[in-house]
Amino acid sequence: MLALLTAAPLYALRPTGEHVLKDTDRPRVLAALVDAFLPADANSPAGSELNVPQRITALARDVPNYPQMLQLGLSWLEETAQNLHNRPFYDLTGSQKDAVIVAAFAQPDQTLPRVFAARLRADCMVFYYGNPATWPSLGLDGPIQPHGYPDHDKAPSA
Amino acid sequence: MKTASPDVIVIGSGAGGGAAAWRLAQQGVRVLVLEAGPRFDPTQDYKQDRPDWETPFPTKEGSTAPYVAAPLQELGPEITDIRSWSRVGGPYVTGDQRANFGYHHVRGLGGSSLQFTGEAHRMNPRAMALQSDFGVAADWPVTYDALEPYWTLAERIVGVAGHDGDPRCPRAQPYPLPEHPISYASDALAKGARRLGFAPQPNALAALSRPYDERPPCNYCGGCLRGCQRRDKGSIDVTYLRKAVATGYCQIETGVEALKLLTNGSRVEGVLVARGGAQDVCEARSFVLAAGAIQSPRLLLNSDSAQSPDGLCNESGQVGRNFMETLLSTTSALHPDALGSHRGLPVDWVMWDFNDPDAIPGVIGGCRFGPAMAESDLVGPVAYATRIIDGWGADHKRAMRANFGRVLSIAGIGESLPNARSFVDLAEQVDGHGLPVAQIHSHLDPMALARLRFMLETGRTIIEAAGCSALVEEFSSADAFSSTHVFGTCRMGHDPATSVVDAFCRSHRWRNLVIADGSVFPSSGGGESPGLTIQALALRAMDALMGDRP
Repeated sequence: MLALLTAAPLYALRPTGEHVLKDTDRPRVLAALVDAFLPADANSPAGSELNVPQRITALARDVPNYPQMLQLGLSWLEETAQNLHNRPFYDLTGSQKDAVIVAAFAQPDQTLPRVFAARLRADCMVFYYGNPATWPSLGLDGPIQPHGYPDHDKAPSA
Repeated sequence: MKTASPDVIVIGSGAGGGAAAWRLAQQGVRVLVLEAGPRFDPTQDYKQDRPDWETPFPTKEGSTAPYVAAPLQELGPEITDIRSWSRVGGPYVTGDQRANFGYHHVRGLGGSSLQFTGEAHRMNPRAMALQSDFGVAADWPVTYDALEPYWTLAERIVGVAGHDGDPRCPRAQPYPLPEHPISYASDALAKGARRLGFAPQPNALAALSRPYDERPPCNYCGGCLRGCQRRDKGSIDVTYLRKAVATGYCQIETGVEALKLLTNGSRVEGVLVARGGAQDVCEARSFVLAAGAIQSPRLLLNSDSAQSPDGLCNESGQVGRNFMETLLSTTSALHPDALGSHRGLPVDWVMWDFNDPDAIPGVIGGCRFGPAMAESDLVGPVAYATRIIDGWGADHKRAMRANFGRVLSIAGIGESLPNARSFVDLAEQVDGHGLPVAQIHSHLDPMALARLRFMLETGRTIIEAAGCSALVEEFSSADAFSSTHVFGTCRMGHDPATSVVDAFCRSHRWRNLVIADGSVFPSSGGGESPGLTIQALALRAMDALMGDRP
């Protein structure tokens, strides 16, 4: 991952430091990003309600270079939010947050914002949909055992 | 039984080693099975009843064998249409060099059968004479008819549920268990195949359709590749090895790694092993090497001596040569209807229409097709969220609810023919004992790429005929080496100058050494899963070893 970061074109694709993200604000930006990826709705809870931000933070402790990617990526989100809307990322409206995320995904391959957005999206999905609390919304009532799918040859129930 | 006094030492406990150990022990031969990996407890180690069930087959200390892959071939524009990609992630392989996705195996008691789908195939007899009929690979020195009783025996031991009516492979007896019902989603895919005039049929599976042999029937969770918690899948640990131990003549040691075979005169007299941090020599009258087509040649090459300067059994120079891999394609797409496609056995039907060696126009070597939702690992919410449904936010959640259970996936597996640039040798890298690890060299020639193109194009046609429109993911061996079935590196044959072992899997020179794994295959078959044939060859070899040559 470090290779990806250092290989990235530098200007405008990394935070410039113009708007410094304080350490104390980093959890709020991360939680806001997680809930932008996974908002609450009538059928299922938000990512933050299932401790996805905490799982991401814990993951960062185990994966080489992940902490740097996380720190730089969150700073990029904050700086882009400030530049576009003059407000912290976590204070943006839903559509404004989406616009910042879209901008991250729109960067060239192997650049920090794009690598960060893709990796965070994937990890959020893993932690969220790996939580049994999300399964009823998909028609699942538990892990695949001990009951299996004895109805596998029938049409699924509505 | 004392460890020091076995009649036969079996190295490796997968399909070949397990079958060999049972056959010997059943006849009162004292057997010691040495397994380098750990023992897996289905209840404790497999996760199907836990929240993290969607994680892959578990790893434990020592459960993967060391190997490296040599740099793979460069990719040109001629394969652009058969490369791997997903709608969410884009190309799986970026750049212009074929990637190593891995040799997927389990080093543990039961070997890779612990994570197999249960497919239990016989060889198409037409795929056993490729040299005589087509001038490629090598002929099998054993006929279909000679193997038939051993396939039948193997089917009985592991408990195969199958469809009696496959004209390719004549049977003396029916399958021990009735065929499984086809899942609702797989049936939708099969209908697509039938619309095109193809003939999908219920697959032969070592998964119980009825209670059998003190094991419960399958409940269709689809988790076979993550290990079978119920023990209804006929993996080697719960079938052959359980029965072998029950005879009282078989002892198993796990975590004992064979480092070198030791010879004296014209015989193998011992095996140097690493056991609990120390090294030891185990002696026996005969030895069965069953470590698979990567590790078996490695052990032989590492067993060089003054008598065998090029490695043990390598008088022909064929140890490690003729490597054949898994030639695989998968195509996945969303179906407009809710199918519950996360349910049911993996590969519950199979289509042999193109399995004959001359069935694919312009290509030598056949292939087969079957549903692949489980093999593509598209049976859980995490896989859908990360690989199938693009985007994020409320729209992503709505799409997850609308589409979960609608993926159909089809796989093709094709003949892999040997070529001079595909082989296994010793790497410069060494393991913890200072011994070189195996190095895999894989190269796909133009005919392999043409076969892959046919497999992908046919799979896309079937998916479309099943009612799917938008493809969401494809995988192809064209740009990624990714193998479960590996073959050929200790080829069997009649001629000692061109093969490593004879028709009874016995070394041409070292007559008390038998090799009993996929490395002895002279050709890979046109997509048949090799486990049952490895078992049959091992059973037959043990009968010969005991002097009961049929």
